[in-house]
Amino acid sequence: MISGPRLRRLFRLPEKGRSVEADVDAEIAYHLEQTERELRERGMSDDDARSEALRRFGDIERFRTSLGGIGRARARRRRRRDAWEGAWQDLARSVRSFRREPSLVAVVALTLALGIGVNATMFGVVDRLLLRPPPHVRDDGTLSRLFFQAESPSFGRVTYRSQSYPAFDHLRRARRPFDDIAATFDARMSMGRGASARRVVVLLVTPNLFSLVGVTPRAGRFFPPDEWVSASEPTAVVTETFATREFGSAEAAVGERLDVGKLSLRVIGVTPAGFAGVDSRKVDLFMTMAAGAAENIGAEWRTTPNMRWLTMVARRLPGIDPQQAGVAGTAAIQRYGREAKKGDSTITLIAGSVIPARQPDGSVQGRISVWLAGVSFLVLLVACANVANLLLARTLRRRRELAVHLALGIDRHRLSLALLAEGVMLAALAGALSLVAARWSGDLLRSTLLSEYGWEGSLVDGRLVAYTAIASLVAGVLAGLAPVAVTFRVPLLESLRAGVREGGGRRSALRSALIVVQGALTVVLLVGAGLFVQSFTRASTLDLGYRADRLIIASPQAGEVTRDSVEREALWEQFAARVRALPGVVSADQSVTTPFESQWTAEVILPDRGELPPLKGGGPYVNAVTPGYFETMGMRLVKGRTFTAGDVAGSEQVVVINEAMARAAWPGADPIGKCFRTKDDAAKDDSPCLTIVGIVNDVRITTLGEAPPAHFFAPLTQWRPDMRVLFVRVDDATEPLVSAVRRALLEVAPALPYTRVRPFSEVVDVELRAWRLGATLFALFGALGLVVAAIGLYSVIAHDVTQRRREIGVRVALGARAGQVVSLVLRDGLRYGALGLAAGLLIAIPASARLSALLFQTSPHEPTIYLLAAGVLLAVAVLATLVPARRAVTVHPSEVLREE
Amino acid sequence: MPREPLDLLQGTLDVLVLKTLTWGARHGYGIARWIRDTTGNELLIEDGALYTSLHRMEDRGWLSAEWGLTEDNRRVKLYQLTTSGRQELRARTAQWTRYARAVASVLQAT
Repeated sequence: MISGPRLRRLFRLPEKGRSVEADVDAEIAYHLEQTERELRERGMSDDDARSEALRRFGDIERFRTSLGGIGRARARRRRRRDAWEGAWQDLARSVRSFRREPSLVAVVALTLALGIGVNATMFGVVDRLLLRPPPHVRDDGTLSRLFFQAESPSFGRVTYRSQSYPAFDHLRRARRPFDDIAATFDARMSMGRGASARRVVVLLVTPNLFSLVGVTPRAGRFFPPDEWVSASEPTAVVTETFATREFGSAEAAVGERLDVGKLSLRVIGVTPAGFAGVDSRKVDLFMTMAAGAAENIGAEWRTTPNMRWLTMVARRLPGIDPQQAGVAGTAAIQRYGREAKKGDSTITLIAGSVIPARQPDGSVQGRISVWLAGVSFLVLLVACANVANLLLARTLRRRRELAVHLALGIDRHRLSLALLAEGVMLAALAGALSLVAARWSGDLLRSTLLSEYGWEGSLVDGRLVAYTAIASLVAGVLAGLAPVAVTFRVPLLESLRAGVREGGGRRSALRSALIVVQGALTVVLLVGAGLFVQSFTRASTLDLGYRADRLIIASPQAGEVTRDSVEREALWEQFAARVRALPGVVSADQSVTTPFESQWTAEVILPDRGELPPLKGGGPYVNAVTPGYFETMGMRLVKGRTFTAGDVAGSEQVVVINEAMARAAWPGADPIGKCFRTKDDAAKDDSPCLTIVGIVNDVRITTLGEAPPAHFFAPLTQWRPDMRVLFVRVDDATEPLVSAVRRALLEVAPALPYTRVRPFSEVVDVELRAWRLGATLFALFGALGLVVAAIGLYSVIAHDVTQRRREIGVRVALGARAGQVVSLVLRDGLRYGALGLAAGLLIAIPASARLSALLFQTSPHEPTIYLLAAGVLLAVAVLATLVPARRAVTVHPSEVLREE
Repeated sequence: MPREPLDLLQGTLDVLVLKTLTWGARHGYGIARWIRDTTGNELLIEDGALYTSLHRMEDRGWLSAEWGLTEDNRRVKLYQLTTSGRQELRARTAQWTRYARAVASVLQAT
């Protein structure tokens, strides 16, 4: 008999392909046969021997079944163990091979980390700002932010949140469909006095706000539920950040005093970290409306139906969905409108979400953020395509190794899994790197482009980590699939044959396709970047009608220094005079309103034609200014005169109008010398007719996007509202003069509360924010995509050149000149570039049309942008190709041919 | 006339099989034959039970099995003791001897 081990060595048959049952049957059959033979040798007849053998064996069917069961369980266990062992071996092999190629690992990990990091950051930002209820707000599905919608033929549909206190009170008392409603108002107030005064953000709230949204105090307590109308003692609740900054800790803050506005407040409680009411804007402290509304809104805050200032959040009654709440709420607000005889009898109430992304009045900035998050996905795709390409090239380099594996009996399935696992491993490394990047870039983004939002803590949290993990896995699989495709398509075993050199063979179609995809996505990113940069440029260089640079705006609260109107006017004169005397200041003039920040409208009645019909863009807007205002602002007098020292309280009442108003009210006629009344005045019998003495150019004061509205100006000597700002024109650098102006104002009135003095460009900046965000990030994404795609193209062309060394050598030997060799390689690079460009344009043209609402005076199909994007892509393609092309020139025919 | 064969005590078959294999690899039939010849047909062993025992012990790692060819080119499954199989045999033998001695001392008490 042959010994077991030798048999095993010689005739070991693969486990696979033979069933457990067949083995059992063979074993039993052999046994029966041998037993029969033995019995026959002892003299039994054939039949007797067979039946005796069967009897001795027992119940064959039962044993077959139980033996099969044991065998199958065993085979299953072994397969599982083999799979684990195999996987472990494969992983170890991958790690070893990675360690041999640290530069490849670095490039792959960094490229993917860029892509994933950009994605993670954008996801984090959008998630924080738009996709979650505000921190600590208990959103169990019954909480609604209230919105109002009005529709009119001339202005279209307008969605807004503000309502008057009486309207709020009415809705709250209606008891249906809301269990309770709370209201808030976002106020800027001054804390402290004189030089140490600061501006704080105060959220005026109804006392039920905290319990309604479900937040509990971090320390102390919240407002007592009965402080609706008056408070026994003015109190404040502060945020944790504010408490820590001012008093050291949340606990220490309780019981302290704060001087805010004209009030001395006692701190009674602290909100938990991150709580900022029902929005995510920064807040410092909370006051009840009973304590603070009079100072911010006016003594009649509770009764006036004319001022819409507060916003509402409501808990719906159980069982009422937002739709039903909207219907019932609309009925309630319209009933109020009829009773109060306000226009509210036609508006619609919407019980919207507390999650910003689901609100009906989403901001341009929010919409751009969502777009950017989507677009950052393109960066990830470009990165994936590039990494896929690098891994593909690596797989092709390793084809001999892979072929050996296949020959040794590792099946393609396992090989593919191993290659896929390599991609996922690299992506996991990239994911970890990208979390670091997201943390850093999130902080950067928060402090630069999104500074008006208040969020606590790092951007990196559980949700972001989960998102990054998923993104990494997807990226890893995408990048790992390309090498897997190779193992199935390339006849690997052939590469073992003699004669086929390492790395030989045709250029892979998949690699070319990946390069084209990268190019296409980059074109899309570049076009997007171009559109937003163009929008930003158009918006920031827009002719506002005045010069916004070298202009300072100061808002000293003269009303806080003296109550007497005569003294107050004198104070304003002193402010202006002192500021004018500062070196570097050209002029300083008062104005009632501030472009983009405050507007005043008037209803105009023409003596011969009656009331002016509603104008597109609203208005006419009215402002009262000192005589030098037009020059200080850099406006242009078109006709007539501006105000002079002769326009005083008792003289003829004069106005200056702008061209838009001239066109709207006196088309084709000369308005100078004509007069009109304003509606408020018209109520009185002796209301004067305001005589037009001059026409100035149009100015943008509502939003950047809207055409300049009709606007007229009165001299401050003849119309003097309390509201006032000081515009200061300077002749050189603005920044250093800002503090000089503040000091000058404090010298005049040391008791001033915090005085806001800013370069006027800050005001315009707020308007530019959305486009700056879009332009900066789109340009960044475009640049990232471009760099990654350039690296990808470079690596493919370089690889090609190495492969074609022999061909190039032969060409040179046959007399090809350097220029011909370069153009041979360049043609390849340009072909990839052109294909990518064509594919990219096919995507970009329809996709950009959807952006048009977010662009500023820029057509989504502006040809120059497309030409520029095309130019940039092709130029980068040429650059990425030139380096390998130059290397091709240095190929020496003798060397190459000797390599044979 | 042979005497009636004895029924096998539970678990005893395993130890017999292990013992059988101490002289080298054997196939199932060989094991059955050896036990029968050695005991002089005193024990009643169903051949099916023997195979169940073999497969179970292979599963537990006491035996290793290989397919091989006999001299007349038949495919047979050959069983062999593993290291843990040897340990098991030692333990069981000791256990069995103790057991047998205890039973015998009771039965032979006078």
